[in-house]
Amino acid sequence: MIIIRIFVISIWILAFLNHGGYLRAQQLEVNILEGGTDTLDFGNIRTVDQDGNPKVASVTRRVLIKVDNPTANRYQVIQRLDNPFLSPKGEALAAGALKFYVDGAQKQGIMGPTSLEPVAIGDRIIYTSDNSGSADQFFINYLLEVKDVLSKGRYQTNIAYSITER
Amino acid sequence: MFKNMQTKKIIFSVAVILFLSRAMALAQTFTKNITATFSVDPVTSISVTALDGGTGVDFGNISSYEKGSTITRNLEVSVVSNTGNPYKVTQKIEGSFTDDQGNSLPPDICTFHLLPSGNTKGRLEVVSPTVVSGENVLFTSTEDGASDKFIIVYELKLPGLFKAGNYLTSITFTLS
Repeated sequence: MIIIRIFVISIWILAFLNHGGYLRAQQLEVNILEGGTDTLDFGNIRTVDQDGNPKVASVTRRVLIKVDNPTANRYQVIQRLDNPFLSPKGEALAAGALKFYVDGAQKQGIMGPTSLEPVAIGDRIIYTSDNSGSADQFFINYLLEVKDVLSKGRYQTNIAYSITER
Repeated sequence: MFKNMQTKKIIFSVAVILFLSRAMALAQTFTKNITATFSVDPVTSISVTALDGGTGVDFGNISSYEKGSTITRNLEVSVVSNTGNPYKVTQKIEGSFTDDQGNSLPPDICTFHLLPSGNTKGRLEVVSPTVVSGENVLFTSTEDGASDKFIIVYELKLPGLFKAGNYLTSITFTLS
């Protein structure tokens, strides 16, 4: 009997607190605006013109990050790259070929970087909210610039976005 | 007394559940992963650059040269390939130098040989002077078919005077 009472009371209080956001963590939504919905696809890269002369291939892509924060605690959004673009044979794209910057935040958070910077291996803070942890959204603008003649094939990497309380 | 104890147990248990729920919520780090990708199409191309100017091998007006002198012209051949397959470059000469009247120069007056261009990685197949005639394999790439380049040196040796005219021949380079 006592267990049922504890269960009922707990559920009731938890539901109330959850509705108020007390038990919900921050969440973020990643929308790939160009190049695909599930994959950030930079398309076909060609670094040789029709006459066989080298040329630089540049492709831009945009990602919209939306943050939901029911906790009112300050938070940070972090971008992480574990490895460079790799070909099926394991050949790595030169460091610095993928660059990015952040813009378009609507609240008083701090964006970074706001000018092109290479996407380096590891973590990079790309947004820090205001003190009241306002929900916000912003754009990540990517530029893929390839100068070398790369081996044929599909190159891939993973980019992770995470949100943590600060 | 018994009821008071029961109430304390309920309050304590609910408090523990709430504390754990809150702690679990705050411990969450929300992460979203995406795959970034691009593709590179196979490319194989060959280009030829006249290092002495112009677009071909032009020996100019040979009447100004003395008998026995040699005129040299250089072509740089560049191959771009990302297929990973080895390749060969072949030169094919359509015929000897001929003017519009049908007069031909002796075939052996023009020879060629190859030189590396920078850090040529593949194998040069013609390194000693060879008469420009017929079909010759010039170059064999590395096993992985890396992009490469090399120089062809054409030498025209003048044995004496020729009949006036514009003497032409055609050179075709093939990548296979």
